[in-house]
Amino acid sequence: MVSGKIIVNLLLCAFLGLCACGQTNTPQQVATTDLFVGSTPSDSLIMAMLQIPPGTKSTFMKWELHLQNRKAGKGQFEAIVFYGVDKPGTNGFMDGGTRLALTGTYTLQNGAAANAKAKVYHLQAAQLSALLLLIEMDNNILHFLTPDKHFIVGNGGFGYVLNRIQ
Amino acid sequence: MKYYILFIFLSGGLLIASPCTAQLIPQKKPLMGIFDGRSPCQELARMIQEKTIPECDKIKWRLALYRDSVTGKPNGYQLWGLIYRNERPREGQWQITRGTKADPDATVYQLDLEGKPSLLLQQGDDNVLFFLDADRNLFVGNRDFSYTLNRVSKADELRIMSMAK
Repeated sequence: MVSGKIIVNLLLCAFLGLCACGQTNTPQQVATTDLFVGSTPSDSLIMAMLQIPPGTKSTFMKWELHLQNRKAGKGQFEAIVFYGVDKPGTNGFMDGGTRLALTGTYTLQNGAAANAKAKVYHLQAAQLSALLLLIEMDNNILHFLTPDKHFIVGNGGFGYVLNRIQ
Repeated sequence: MKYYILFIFLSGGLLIASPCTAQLIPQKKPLMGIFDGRSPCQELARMIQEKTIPECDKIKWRLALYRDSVTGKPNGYQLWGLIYRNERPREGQWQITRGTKADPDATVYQLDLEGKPSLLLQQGDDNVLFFLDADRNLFVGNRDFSYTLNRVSKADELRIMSMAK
């Protein structure tokens, strides 16, 4: 009788343990983060969107964008942007550039100027008043849009593209 | 060692035709647009079977697309970007096709390269083009370079056209 109780208790513990494991490790609850990187021009539009003071000397920007939980279509993001004047003969900046850190939330919505079905990330940074808009070209490529949802046009050196590397 | 470095430098120069000096060859058909950009080197060179060197990390591109003056359909291109010793562009025909791996409705420009696999460019909108691989997936760039071409402004287009006359 005593051993029977022990067996029942052991089975109960095992069952509760499995439930607990299931509750903490379901794939839906694990927030994944995708990392997008790229270099873009630093034209007046993107500088204004990032609230960088007019007249600031900059020839390009380097981006690192962490998007959490893309499968859910909404979540947190973090972006590190370096901007400044290019250092000739390198892919970097004179004096290392200026660092800008952004954090906030995003939602995934449909609709761009050229394609009503397109998926567009709307990033609302705590540090900025305007949204940053990025169209999803596929799972690996994002491209910046203007506030009226047209592609921002780059130049011979850089496009407004971010590439998923993680 | 000094000569080796010089050789590498000169070889790299041959691999990257500079669009700054790329001159259009005058055509009697309307220009649809000129697109410029820089992309990583190795993957694209491999895809279109162009020789390269390990030190090649980027390619500067200039693409001029022409259309038929009556029908408006694609009618020829000029492309600068890989091994053109005399900075003479590659010329050929292009056509509009449909579909990428991610988007069956996407508009894709297919540039026929004589004796080599076609160069595929997805139209983002009228101003931005994305390089596709042979399976019609978008190429993924890196921290420094991406696989896009951007339309040059009207003012730059006129300047480039005037230099060709």
